[in-house]
Amino acid sequence: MTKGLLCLILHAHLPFVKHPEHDNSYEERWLYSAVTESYIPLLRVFNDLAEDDIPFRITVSLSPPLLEMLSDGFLIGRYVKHLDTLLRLAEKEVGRTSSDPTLNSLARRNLAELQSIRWILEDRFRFDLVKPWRDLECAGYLELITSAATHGYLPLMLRRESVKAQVVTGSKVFRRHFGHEPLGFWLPECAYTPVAEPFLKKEGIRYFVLETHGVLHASPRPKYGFYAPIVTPERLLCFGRDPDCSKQVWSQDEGYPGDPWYRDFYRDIGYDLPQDYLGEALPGGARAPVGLKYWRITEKRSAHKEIYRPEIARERAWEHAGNFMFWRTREAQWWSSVLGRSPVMVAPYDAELFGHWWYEGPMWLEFFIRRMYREQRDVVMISPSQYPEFYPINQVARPAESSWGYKGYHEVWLEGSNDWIYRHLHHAEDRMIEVARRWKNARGLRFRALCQAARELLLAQSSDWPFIMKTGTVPAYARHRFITHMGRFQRLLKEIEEGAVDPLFLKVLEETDSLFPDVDYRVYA
Amino acid sequence: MYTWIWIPIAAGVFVIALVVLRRLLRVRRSGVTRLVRGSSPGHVGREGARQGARGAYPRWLPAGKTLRSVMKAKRALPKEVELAWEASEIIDIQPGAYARTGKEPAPWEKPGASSETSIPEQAMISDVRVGAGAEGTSGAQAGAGGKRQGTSQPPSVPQALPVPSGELKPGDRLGREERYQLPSRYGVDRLVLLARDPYWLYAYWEITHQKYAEMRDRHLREWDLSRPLLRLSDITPGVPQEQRYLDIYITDEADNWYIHVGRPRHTLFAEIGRLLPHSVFVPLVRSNVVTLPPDSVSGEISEEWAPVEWPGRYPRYRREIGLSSPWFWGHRT
Repeated sequence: MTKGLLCLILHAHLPFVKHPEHDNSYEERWLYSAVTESYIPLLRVFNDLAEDDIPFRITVSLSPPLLEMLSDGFLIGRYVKHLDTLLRLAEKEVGRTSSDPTLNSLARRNLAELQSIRWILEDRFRFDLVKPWRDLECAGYLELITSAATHGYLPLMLRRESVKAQVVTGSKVFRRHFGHEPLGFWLPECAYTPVAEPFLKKEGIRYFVLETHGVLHASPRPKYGFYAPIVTPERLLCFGRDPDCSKQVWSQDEGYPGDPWYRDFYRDIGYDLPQDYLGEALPGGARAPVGLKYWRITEKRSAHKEIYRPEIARERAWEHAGNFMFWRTREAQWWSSVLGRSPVMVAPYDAELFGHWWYEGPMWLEFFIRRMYREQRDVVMISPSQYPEFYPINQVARPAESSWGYKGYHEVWLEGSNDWIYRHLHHAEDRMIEVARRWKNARGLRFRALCQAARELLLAQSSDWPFIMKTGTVPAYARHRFITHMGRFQRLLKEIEEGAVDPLFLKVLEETDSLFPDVDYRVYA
Repeated sequence: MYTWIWIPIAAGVFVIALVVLRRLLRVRRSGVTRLVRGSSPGHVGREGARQGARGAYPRWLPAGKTLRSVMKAKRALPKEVELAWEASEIIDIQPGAYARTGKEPAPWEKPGASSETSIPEQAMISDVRVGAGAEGTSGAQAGAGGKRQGTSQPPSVPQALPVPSGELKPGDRLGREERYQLPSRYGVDRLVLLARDPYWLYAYWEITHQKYAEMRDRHLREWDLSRPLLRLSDITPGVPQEQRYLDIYITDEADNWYIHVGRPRHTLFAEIGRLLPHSVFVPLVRSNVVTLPPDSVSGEISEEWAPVEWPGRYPRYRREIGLSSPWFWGHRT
């Protein structure tokens, strides 16, 4: 008897980082480490489960810039090189730690892990990191959804056309990679604005996910709270995030990833060992994590770390998976008795949480799915698009403007450190629309220049830049990227209006900011 | 009688109809074929898309547009654009090619330039070393203070960039040659309101000198006695008149402001202007209309229930992607 429906959603996104002008870019490592630590381990888990005939259903949102990077030959080539460097370093580590049996076993483990990743990448995936997702979707295990073109923060855009361009380009990229229309749309940062809805509808989108209060504060008041989706005025399904699901996994203090037996993320040999020894594994002589770690969290607010014990961490992951399953079944039992319909529990997470931030994450996910299958009968894993198979009729309400950021609204992306960008972005939106309307049927060089201008604007709109400026991790880089894209945009527009497009400049831009080859500037018209 | 006269007439009408019909059909079909031919770069793949300018991008003629008008449009392009277009076909990017297009060579492109003297000393806002990651900083963005602009930081002296001595890749050149500085003013009168959360608004504005001078000339007598004012108007239905306006005394130097409104779900817009003596308000610019998000559950209780529309493509999707969740395969039903 089904008492509850569980939608696990993994949202994978990285900003578009491609720097052909640098041999060893720090930011491209975001992609490398996400692939090594998250995407390939997750794919391995899904494939293992599929081989064992364990049924599961997970929704994965692959953001368009990430898809473009994963299918970019240049970046994948660099990634493989980087992986080989890491492999050499891991081999060196085995030699270095030979006098210490505990460390040595961990070093061997790291090496085996990297070798397995390398093998999967080459022999099983043939260096194609998009196809495995597609295959799993075709087998029915995953449902893939798309996101806004460059993960732009939709509520802070001024013109409808900008929102439209983000939505239309996002689903276009998805169609190009997966050959069918996306059923769901991941609103960047779960930030809802009613402006986006007609465009989503037009692209054939059927559902999107919001933060809990995006649904709870909807108007009129939803009868089932966030335990059932609401139908928006445009007849899209809108799901609200289940706060318990997110807290148990996500929270820094109470969540599973903070368990003292799990591997520590921050203590890395990239910081501990001499630079000469690490050599090429570091980006251009600067210290950075390389992904080889030997310590467990031990105590969260202390620098004292003890050696990682994989076998104990594995047991903890098994227990945590059971705990998560227990709470989901209890939640389902309780709420189905109260509501009179099976509650839907929507659990969206960043895909990079599993593996990159939380090393045991993929393992936990595998254990969770196995235990869900073997040990309980109350909760069923579905993807949001299947919800109407259970309950086709839902309440109509208008969702509330919200986001899943700190404090639940737009404050992360609009505050002292990053509010200055909107002045430039809004002006650029106006200019882009103006120019697109002026040259509706541009051809040749002007067509290419207009499309490239659209690309630059989309890139500048990425929500990652204000986010990085706010969190202060690499604010100089975020400012640099924002100003560069705006500058390129303004220069292109000036050249277009003067009728003197520099073909070489354009060509170089097309090779550097090479995402969205099929973008059409006319969405702005 | 005279029946024979109808035969040529009917034949003529038939021929004319045929010609017209064919013409119509041909126009439509040509539109379609061009559309199909031009719009498939996605399936060509990235390599195909990169190959060249002309074949790669979707460029179709709209249906009904004849070839002649298109040719006219092409001829109307300036000569240099034509030339550039032609050139873009044949120039392949070579190391150093960018310098050969007749631009003034940058110092590091001159043959004798050594790597120490190669950086022009000018304000480089966007010139941050990408490879260095967290280490590369070019002066912190002005965080607090009334005036917060993207470009208000002092010109920072760049760190010495290592210029590789060998061949330069095109990307290299791009990274070096591009130095952008965003303008602090765009010469457009505008005031924009953004809702930050249910209680706060963010406003930024720009008032051009022309607009300012024009208004000052109009109200010359009282202008010096006036002060700048940002007036919020609450246009939510049911708001009493005395709560409709919210005045904020701003300064002439400010160009953005965080405003505490504290009225979730309310709809507002703003105006910036001068408050003249005798409480006369002269608006200069008006903003967009924003609605603050709600901060609590809605008091509105009405139950409208609707089925989700199942688009026609959904069954096709299920057929292609799989019937349903694998959860329902086999014994688990």
